[in-house]
Amino acid sequence: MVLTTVLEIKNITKKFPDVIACNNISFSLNRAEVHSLLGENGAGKTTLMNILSGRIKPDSGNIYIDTESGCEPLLQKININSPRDAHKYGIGMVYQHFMLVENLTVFENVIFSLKNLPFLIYRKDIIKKIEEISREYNLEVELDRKIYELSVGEQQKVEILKVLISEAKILILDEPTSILTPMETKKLFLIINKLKANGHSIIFISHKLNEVLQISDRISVLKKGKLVATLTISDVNKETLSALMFDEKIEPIHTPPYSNRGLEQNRIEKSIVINNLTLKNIRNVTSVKNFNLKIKRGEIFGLAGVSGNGQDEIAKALFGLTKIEDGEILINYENISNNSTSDIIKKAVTLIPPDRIKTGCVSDCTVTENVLLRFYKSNSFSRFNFIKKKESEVFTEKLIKDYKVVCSGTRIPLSHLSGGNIQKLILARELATKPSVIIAVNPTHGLDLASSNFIHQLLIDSSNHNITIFLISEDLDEILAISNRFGVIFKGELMGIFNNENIDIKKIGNLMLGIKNDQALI
Amino acid sequence: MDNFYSVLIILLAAAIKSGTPILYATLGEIITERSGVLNLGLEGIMLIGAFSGFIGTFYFENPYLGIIVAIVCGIFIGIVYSIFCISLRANQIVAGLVMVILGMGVSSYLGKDMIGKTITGLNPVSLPYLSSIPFLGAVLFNADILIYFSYIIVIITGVLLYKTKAGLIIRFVGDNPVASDTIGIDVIKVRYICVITGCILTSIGGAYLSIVYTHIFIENMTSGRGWIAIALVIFSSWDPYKAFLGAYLFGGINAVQLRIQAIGTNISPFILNMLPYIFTILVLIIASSKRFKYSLSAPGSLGIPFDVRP
Amino acid sequence: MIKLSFKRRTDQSKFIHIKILFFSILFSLFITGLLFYASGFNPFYVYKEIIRGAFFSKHALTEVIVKTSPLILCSLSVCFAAIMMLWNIGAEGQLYIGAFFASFIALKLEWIPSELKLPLMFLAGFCGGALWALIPALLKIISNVNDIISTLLLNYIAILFVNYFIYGPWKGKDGFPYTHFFPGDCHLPLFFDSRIHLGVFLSLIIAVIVYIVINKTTFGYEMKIIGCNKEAALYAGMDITKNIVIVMLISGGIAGICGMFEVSGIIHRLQPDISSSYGYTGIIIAWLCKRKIGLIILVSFLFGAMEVGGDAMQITMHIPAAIVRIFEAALLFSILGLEIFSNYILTFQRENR
Repeated sequence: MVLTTVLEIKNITKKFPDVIACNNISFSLNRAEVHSLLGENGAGKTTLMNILSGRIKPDSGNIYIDTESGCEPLLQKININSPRDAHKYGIGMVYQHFMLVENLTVFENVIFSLKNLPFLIYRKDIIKKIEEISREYNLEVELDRKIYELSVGEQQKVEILKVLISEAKILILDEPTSILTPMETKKLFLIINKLKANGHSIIFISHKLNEVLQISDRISVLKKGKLVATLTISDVNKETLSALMFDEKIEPIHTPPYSNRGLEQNRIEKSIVINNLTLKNIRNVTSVKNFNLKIKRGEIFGLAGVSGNGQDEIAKALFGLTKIEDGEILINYENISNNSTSDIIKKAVTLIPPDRIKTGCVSDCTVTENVLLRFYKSNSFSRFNFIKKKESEVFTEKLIKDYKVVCSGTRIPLSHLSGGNIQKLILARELATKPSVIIAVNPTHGLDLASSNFIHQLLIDSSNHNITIFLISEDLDEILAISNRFGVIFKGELMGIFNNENIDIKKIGNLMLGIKNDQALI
Repeated sequence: MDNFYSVLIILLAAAIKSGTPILYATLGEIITERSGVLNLGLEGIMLIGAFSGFIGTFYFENPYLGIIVAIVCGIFIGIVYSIFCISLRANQIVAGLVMVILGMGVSSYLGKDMIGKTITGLNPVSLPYLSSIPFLGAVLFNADILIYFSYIIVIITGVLLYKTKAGLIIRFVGDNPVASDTIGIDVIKVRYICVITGCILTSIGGAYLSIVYTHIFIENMTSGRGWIAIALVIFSSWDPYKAFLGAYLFGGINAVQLRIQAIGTNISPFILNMLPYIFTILVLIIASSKRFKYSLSAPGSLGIPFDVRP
Repeated sequence: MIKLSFKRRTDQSKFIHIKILFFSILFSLFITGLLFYASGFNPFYVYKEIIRGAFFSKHALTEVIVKTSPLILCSLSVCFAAIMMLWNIGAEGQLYIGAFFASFIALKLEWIPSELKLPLMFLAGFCGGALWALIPALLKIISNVNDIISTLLLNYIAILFVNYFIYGPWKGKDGFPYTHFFPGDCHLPLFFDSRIHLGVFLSLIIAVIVYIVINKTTFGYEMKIIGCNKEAALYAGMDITKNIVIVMLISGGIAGICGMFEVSGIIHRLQPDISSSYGYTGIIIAWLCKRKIGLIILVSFLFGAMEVGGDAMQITMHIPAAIVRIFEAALLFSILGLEIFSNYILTFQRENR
């Protein structure tokens, strides 16, 4: 088969105020090829693809596309000034953070991608067209449901459907597997292969080595905004890729089996006991029902599951942020059900929230003010309700030093810090409260490997100091990497609890999708 | 009994007349907010509408031209507000409040010579056939052109929002402008159009007050109707059909209150004048209470400027 | 085709705010100047008259100071609530109710010992404003009613309520719509042989107290965190409901005190129009000053001067003082519009299609 280039980018550069996101990148895509962009979080993959999809304009560099105008393939220079231009040239992107309107139905979300949508919308004709495509690619979703009622897996289907309906020939998938279970990932790969067979070209963005090796024809590695190399799949293996991705040799922390690590007598002591917990989510729908769990003192207990299956509500309930409809939560044998957050904090419980920018910190306030969030009432930092400015500054400086947070001062707004450093600061602050229980929700989401490792190490060290850690994570790898035991949650129900030894990943993946028996998914 | 019947007709007709300016403003604000832009300046825009409508009618001696002058002013205000709040991404709450101050200032400053003058406004036109429907005909179809026009606008807005591509685009932009941008919708353009349309309707609502309702112009003659319209937008949960009901409900309270004043009672007019505001607050309490919270369809990006792309 | 677009600033320009302010003042002077010109006046002459009317005599200057006091209090009231992202558009109504409560003590409770009257009136003013602000606070807590609309609608109700008494039960003997004059022991002491009253100094003291509460105390810290990020505040275990109530009570109370100062310090009776939109001007000042209390005092003084100068202009040249509103609106609009330049720069891009 003759390889024809359908897309080429040359010398693309994009600078942001604090970083160079893309530094002189050139890259090409062939017809019916899966070309992977591999790199750490923050390597510039998404920026590059946003340039292609018209959301970001490059500072310099050119894009060429095969316009299929003549019989001979001819690359033509194009300007992509807006997503509309990208559509015009047949480039469709499936975003990592879905671009769907939550309050509207699937149907309403999808039809915009149709070319020539009439002014008055007749459902019948359009539905026919949508169903054709969804059947062909196994993307069936109920068209009349609202987006917020769908699971993340289904939402991704809608996103892909949208791109296919727009008749895009070039598909960009941005970290599509980050929210999927292993089985769902397999299904997605089937779809990708089918698309490839039908002549679509696909750019697959990921930071996961294994997946990239599975699906790609070619692989380009990005590091700190630079394209390090473009290689054909036959020329690479895990080691060569990993050497290209990282500066020094760092491996993710992964040292199970942990289940026996220091199993002292006091480990029989229960730190968190959840009995028959029932919770509602913010849309007032029951999202956790009859949930039971016992967590031992000093262990790292993981809770795996696809996002949106009740994990957030459980974390909130443990921290007094949502009303408990039924059941009870005991922490260190004390009933804390429906206690206020400030009372729960007094019981040496702490939470590392899922959304570090929205919940964990106040990005407009200074670094010191953010550290004070946990301490402003304590006597060491306030007297007669007046805040002791000096003591707080000194304390903040100490935390910054101890936890190697990179920042240029204690009085700068927190928003000037990078995501990894914000998370380190939050962790530093929470550990400084000397907790006996840490609830950590997706603590390393979106961080680069070095920061992730740092945070994982801190959690492991804490558990060695007899602090109980309840690690709620959508990232199964993270749970397998550091937890002693873990449970799987699906639709607010506990599907099973496992010691972290000889785990059958396929079985766990099925449980994450609510499939209990060993029936094969595909 | 006959007497009661005729009083009821008069009251209901008065309710519609008194509710119409608010209906226009409410519909305008619904369109604006559906696209994700908050315009708290209704009070000021209505004042400018009332003033410009009056002055147009006065000089051209034709109420229709007066309405056109008010529409032109509405377009102008809409463009100004859009430039500030959409292109320059100004804080929409503050910009709205400033718009109120501007409306008050401009209409009082330029309208100083108009106070005390009267105009011949619009007269009721009975619609053939429809006005002979018993009861309903006398209430609904024995009114002026602007009232008929408001019926049409309600239906157009409803159909537009729920049944057409344009409406879907507006709802997309209001709920998630970033997602709309990625599928190729020109968010800025859509918002400009919606804001300008909203300002036009609001301005007509103001003009109705001077041209049809009172035939005079006085300082701050809207007396809070713009704010009541904003409250009704919440009450109607951004639905034009419910806004229709809400506006007439308010008009009804106002009509009854005025009627009581006209008959002459011991109740102080100041207390009676409070009724519409108290009613509006009550309506707000019901509409915002938790039971309805999740059925509310406040556009997701309301009040947040669209920051073009990263 | 050349296209304009905004680009995020990479550097922080230090003087940008001053530049914006400077351009905005010029712009609004230009707009109002146009209006003057259109009405047949020489704008420069009018401006000269305004400045002369506001500053060029002892009487004028003291009048400006007298006008500054209510503006400071109303902006403090709005600013205090704004720190928690509550919009108290209702300072105007709270002012009226505060004045009403204070008048009640002055007019109806004659048996109170003289020396207690003023402190009680002060307290009553505070309570009146606070009670009126409690309504929107409760509405917000109980059923999440939008604070902008509720505080605003309550203004209309408050003014009608006070007018009901002025035109009704409390009407003076001569039949005009105002009450009797307060007895002498209910007048705030005057200074410097002018209308400058004790309240002017008290409002400065209140400003200092507000400054300390906002910037130095744990309560102020909680307010700031809640204002910046509600979720983080909940996560830190702060009681938002309690804070909303306290903040609105204080915010309304400050506006109520303002009403007490007006009736007890200047007018000495209750009448309609005791406030010349101080509550609304306060919103503008509070927003312009962005939580900086020192700036509030300065800007209030300038706005006070504008009011006094505008009144003088109305008397000498028969130009409606409403022009002051237009000037304010133009100033704010241009500041609002130009603010984008503190974070963005305008770029010109040549597009080759």
